[in-house]
Amino acid sequence: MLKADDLAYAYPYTDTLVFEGISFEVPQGEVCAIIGKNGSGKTTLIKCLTGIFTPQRGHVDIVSPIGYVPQKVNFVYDMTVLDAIVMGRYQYIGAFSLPKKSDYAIARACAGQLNITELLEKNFSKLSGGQQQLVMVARALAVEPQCIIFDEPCSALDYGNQNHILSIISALKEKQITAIFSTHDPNHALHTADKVLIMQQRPDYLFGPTRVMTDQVLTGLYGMNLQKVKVNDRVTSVVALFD
Amino acid sequence: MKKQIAFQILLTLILLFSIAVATAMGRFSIPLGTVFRVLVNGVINNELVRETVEYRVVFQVRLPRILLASLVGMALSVSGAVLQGIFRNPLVDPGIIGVSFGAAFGAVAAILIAASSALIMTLSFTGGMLALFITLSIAGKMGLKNILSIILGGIVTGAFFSALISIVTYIADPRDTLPLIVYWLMGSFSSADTDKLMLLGLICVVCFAVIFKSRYVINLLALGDEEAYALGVQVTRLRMLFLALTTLVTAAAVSVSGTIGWVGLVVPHIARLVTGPDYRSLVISSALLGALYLLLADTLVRTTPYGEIPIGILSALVGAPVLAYLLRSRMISS
Repeated sequence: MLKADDLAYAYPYTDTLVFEGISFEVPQGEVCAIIGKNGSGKTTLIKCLTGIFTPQRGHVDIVSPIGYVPQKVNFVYDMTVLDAIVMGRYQYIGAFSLPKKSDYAIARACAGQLNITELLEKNFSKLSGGQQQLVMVARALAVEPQCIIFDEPCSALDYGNQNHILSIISALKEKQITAIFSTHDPNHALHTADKVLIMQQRPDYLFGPTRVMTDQVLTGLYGMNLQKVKVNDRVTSVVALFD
Repeated sequence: MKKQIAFQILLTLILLFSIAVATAMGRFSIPLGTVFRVLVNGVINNELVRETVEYRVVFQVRLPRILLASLVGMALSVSGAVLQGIFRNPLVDPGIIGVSFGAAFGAVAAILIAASSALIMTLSFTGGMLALFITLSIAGKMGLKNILSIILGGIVTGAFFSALISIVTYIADPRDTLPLIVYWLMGSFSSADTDKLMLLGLICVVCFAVIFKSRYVINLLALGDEEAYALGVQVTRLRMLFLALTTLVTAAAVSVSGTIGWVGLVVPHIARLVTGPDYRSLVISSALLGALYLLLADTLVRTTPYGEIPIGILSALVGAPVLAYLLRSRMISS
């Protein structure tokens, strides 16, 4: 379960609020997407939810432990995929100890769930963007989380890898893990999420089931014509009509 | 992991052997066999050996100096490695937080007023701690959350203290205190004695024990604040802990040996080549290689036939090209 209550955030030494008055609740085991324009505060909100940032106002109720999949990772020093995943075990290891065999076993199992066992001994920074994203998901799973928060998990991926990551997010439901992810593509929200938080102009936020993403709302949000279209009378897809 | 442990055992053996060989070397030459006999008899406290010249040379002159050089090498290298991790920057060394300059100022000020060796050490140590305090004050409230503000604070503090050092050298008596100050600033182990060894040893044992226990978390701090925090690391508190530990050992090392540059910067890079960048092994291999580096350098300057040259000069002469080579080959490989 994740509950945000009247959140407001401003960066240190600035007066301008990035957002304010954000309230929403995601029941345990549901998927929530966050959509909004560039600069609407999606990433900032994600960081408030993970606890990296402390909101100026309001508070977040979240069932811990939580896993976090950052948008971009940049390791200064090389490490293997296995070592990257086992870092997810830190909360069980602590500051004055080393990862044990059992931690490595869990890390391997998490890699197995995502079919990346063959990458375990490889150097993380030599992997493709899609593979790195999978490793970060495996690291989040190694936390044995109640909730995983993804910051734009698909932004650097091709269609195939987007589909792969989204199906992994969907599969979290079976494990009763709550998932929150931000995205630039309303289709991701439409296909994967149960709930959607639409970060429109401050302080105008819309939260609800994915059907709140009407043509009108999406067109207003991005300032261009967007339409939901039924493909083969079955799947609904959002189509952007470029000028 | 097994490969790393094998390397560490090998390095330990090389270090022990080098200590024995270095003990045999010097103006008064002692055969290696005699060194071993004196060492063994000295350790088991054999009364007969105590009266010999060899015993005095080994236990009162050479071993304190050799062990002090090794310990200072360890202290500076481990500090450098830890700081390179918590600042996520491979070009950081103990100088970056201003500590070395603060400690050096304390020492030269003490030399200026012709203080005793104990007071030089005390003031030097105090100067180092004061420098950390000033660095953190400049960094301010944001400081512990923001790496860049600590580095900025450190550079400013370092520059300020090096200006103070210049003032001291400017007003020092050229016939009397100035040569002492200049010599001290270039670093040397020629004044090594058991007291210095004990002082540094005590501080190092405590600090190294904590760093050794918590070495894995440096890997996580090197990910960056936000990621480390999201993984559950208490970033601010642990960074403060590591800053305090590295300041303690650096200030203690500078106070017994003067300023010896390049060790803290170069040795962790060599260690990364040997056992990889994982801090679980990097801390240990940096310590061993750092000890070896300064031990070899000090043995060289001590036994050179043209009279002793300050070790800081040799360290920079060797360190600068080595670092250039390492960075260049790394850039090419990536």
